[in-house]
Amino acid sequence: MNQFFSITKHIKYLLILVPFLYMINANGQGGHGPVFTLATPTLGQGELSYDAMVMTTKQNESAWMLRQNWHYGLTEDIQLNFSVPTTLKRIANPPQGRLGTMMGSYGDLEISGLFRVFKTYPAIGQRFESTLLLGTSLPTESKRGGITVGPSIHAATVTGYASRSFYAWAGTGYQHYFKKNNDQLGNIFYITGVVGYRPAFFQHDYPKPDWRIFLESVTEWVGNNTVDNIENKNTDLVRTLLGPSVLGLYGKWGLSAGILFPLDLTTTKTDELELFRSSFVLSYWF
Amino acid sequence: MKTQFLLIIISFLLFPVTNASAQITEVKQTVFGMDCSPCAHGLEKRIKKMDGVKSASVSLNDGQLTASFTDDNTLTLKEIRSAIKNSGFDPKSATIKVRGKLFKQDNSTFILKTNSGEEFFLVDEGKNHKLMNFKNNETILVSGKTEISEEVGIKLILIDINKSPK
Repeated sequence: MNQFFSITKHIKYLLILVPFLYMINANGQGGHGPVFTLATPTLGQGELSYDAMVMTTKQNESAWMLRQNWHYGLTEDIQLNFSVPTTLKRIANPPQGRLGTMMGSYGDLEISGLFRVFKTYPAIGQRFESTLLLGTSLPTESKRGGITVGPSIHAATVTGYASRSFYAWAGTGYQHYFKKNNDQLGNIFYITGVVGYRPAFFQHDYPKPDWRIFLESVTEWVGNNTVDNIENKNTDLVRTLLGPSVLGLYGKWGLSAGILFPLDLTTTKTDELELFRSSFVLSYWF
Repeated sequence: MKTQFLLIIISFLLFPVTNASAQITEVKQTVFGMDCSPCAHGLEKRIKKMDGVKSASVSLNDGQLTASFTDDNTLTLKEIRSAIKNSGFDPKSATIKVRGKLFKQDNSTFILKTNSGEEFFLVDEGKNHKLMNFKNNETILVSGKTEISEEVGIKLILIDINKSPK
């Protein structure tokens, strides 16, 4: 019951925040889709968007997190991101990994920049582009799974294609956690891939609703944790998750949801298998 | 000296320096790179915010921005293309309707110059628009398809040409 009140309290804050957002005047663009994987698009110059994301992951218990993401287009090729987590339901040993690759890890406040380093537009509605993602994070909690959490740096790159019908992006990234109080979370190396399709049935013109579906995949290699300057050899992890997601866009609103299931899991932490990872995102472009 | 000063004042009053006549009146601009609803929303909003825009709409399926402009606008095609680039897209050719003064450099080079100073090199591919029939410095209303290059500037392949009332 206490958890329920905790969740409703956070929703209340969100409801207060959303009308405030209406007061800010900017343009909007972006929102191409995948929930969990890297993607290339950046906002246009001076454009602002906001996502409220509810994420859950289940091991033995479910962890719930609300993440609020602000995106601002500094230029048409540089986007600044600010991602703030709010833990709705904490679990003892949350999974070490980037639950959504475009934002911080579990419990991390992250500031990042997207740098679109290459773009070409072969035809109407088509774009082929490559983007770098560089970021740094600060933990919002002192300990995670019994380990003192330090700040981190993160770098990723992604290349892909988007059109009115098909989408495909492939990317890779690395997140390094710094040591704090002789503890250090394992570093995360990951690759992501996503393909998307917008069937003819959904190819109505703007401003009619625009839907697309994706198949997303994330493989993560998580390094060993260090506790009291001693590397815990049995805490490394390799996992591949695969699952569908869907994105609906209507004017300046976006709604997406997705779920990933593990395909393969090699770990010594057999009591902490991640059973699924799910997200629900509401986006608004100002 | 006093008389000359008065004449200058009177001439300013009689012939005010204004941009009262429209420059570009309509644009159908092909835009590459838009693939999503927020793309269209962002571009449409950006264009609508520009001074002198009467209406603007975006078609994702056609990759086209359609805009019309007020009679007193001072916008240039360059500014519209720049706004599209700032949205993160690539403006390609456009079909535009534009009013300006015709300047004949010789019998084969015709330049339309708007009040904003933007120049269009008029190309009469059909040879049936009778550019020669219009006087030098005459205000005309032209519709045509743009071709833009760094070397030449904006070429306007003529579709239609009329004497403008303004």
